[in-house]
Amino acid sequence: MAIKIEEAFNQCFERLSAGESLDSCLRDYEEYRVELDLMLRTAYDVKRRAYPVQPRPEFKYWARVRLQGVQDYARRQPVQHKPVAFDLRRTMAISMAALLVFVIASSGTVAASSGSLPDEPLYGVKLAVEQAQVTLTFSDVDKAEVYAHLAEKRAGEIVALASQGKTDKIVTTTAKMDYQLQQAEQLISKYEVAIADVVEESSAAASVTSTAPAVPSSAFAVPSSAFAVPSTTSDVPAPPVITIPIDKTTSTPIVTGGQQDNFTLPAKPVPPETRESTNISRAKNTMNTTTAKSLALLQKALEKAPDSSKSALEDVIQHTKKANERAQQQLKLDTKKHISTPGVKYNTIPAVPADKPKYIPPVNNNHKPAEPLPVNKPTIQTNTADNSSEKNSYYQTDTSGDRDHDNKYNQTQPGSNLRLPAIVNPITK
Amino acid sequence: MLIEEQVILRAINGDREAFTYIYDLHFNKIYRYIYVKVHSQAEAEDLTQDVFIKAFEGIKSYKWRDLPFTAWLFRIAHNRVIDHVRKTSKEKRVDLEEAGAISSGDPVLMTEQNFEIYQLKDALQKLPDAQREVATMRFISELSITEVARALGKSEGTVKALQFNAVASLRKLLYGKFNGY
Repeated sequence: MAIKIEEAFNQCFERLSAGESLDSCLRDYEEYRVELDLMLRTAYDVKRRAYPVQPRPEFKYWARVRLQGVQDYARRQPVQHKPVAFDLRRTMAISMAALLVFVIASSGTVAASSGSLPDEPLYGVKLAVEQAQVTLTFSDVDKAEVYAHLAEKRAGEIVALASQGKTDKIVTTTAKMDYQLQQAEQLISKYEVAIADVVEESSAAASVTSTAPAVPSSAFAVPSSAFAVPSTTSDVPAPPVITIPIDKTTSTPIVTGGQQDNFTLPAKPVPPETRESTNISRAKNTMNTTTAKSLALLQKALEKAPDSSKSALEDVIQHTKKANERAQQQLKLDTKKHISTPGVKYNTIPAVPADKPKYIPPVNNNHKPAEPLPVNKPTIQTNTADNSSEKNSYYQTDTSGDRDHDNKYNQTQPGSNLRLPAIVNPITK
Repeated sequence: MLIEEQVILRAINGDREAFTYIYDLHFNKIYRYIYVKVHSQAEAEDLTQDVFIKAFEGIKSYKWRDLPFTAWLFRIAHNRVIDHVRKTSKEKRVDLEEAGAISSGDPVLMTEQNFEIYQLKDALQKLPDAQREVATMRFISELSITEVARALGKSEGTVKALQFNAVASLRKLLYGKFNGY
């Protein structure tokens, strides 16, 4: 059964690309001989005309440098935790907590329980609402503030209990207040550690000084032509040397040498430490203010309290002072520890003096790349003959100046015994 | 697993050298594909660079099973060219002085080559869209029939028919109706 002419044309085209002669191919399709002959010549003429269209070697070189710059930039970005698209358990928990808060708030019970004391029936509701408030606060630093406010509430309850002479409940309420202050202090510390880690990563990344282009290892050796400096070396500018300034006030890399206009790295975003520092300061202030208010409240209550409650109140005041001092010391220690971490400039990033010159690497004046370019031969094998021929053509496309193949094409004359040269391997022949 | 597949897997996992290898392997083909569709060398260079940056940005979402990598890369190039042509559709022209091959040092040869490229671009512009796509990918970027079919989302039989018709049309456009050689 005769095949269609489209199929015959495609088969002949593939066979010619593999190096077979036109005549031997046409012999297999005698019924289409005349038409196939003209069509195949046309197809090869299209290939021949398009073959001189090659990217400028210097463009190809600089495009690779730019791409590597983009890759380096992407690698330097700190890993950001992607928000969970849909977490059923988390969604359910949030929904239930929100529903609980809504139901409780709408019933009026909350209003009634807000002034309740530990020995009253609605006190459990008050604690449940407080717990929901903590659960629905996601940021550590915000949670710390909530805990500080709750500790202040406990102090108010202690004062009320002391005025009523209920000393037995004062001890348990003091324990709750102590726990809440401790939680506030721990959450602030945890937040500071997390921020310090981010700043450390950013500092480490920013301290890298990169030069382009990178030299590939032998495992992925690319052909020498791919990395070859364009043949007209006098036209090729030296590659830029990029220095990422350590000075945090300067977010744009310094580029010296080469075509600076052609090489741009995306601007590095301003690190978020200023905003985070503000959050920490705010939480610390809340904690200090609420503790000071609690102490003032307790001192005032001590003056008016009945004698039976005075000793208990004095114990609470002493306990609160000690807890506060302990928390303050712990926070100072944490802050000092983070500041002294090598490579971390937490909140104390020194500005580069205006008169201090920035480091500018020497410019290579001989218009050659700063690093030697590899001359490795390709090592990667391909799985099909089609790819192999493709690769051969690719490896040789950068050999600018070698255009002998055009002469070969110009010498070809039409005829039945004509053996069309495979366009993909013209230079190797 | 094919070696090319392994290289792409490494590139997906962030291996810089693997991506550089892919870049070197496909750069000229993508450039030629774009060059014959746009007006100038500068446009072709900008678009070629964009294609590889987009490929780098999107390679993490690439899946080998869905599409051969070459076809995926040419789809990016195809879409990028379409966007560009839409923006510059009012300037349908081919500049002879822009239709230049790389410098060969011989001014006579350069002039001949430039004229032939100019004729080719002009002829390709007159083809129907589907024939132009197939002819460009097949004869200029040297993709296989399978790769062209996957890149364009067509069957191999359809691509073979389009290829044949495109060559027939190009023969008339380049040499006239007498099929002269």
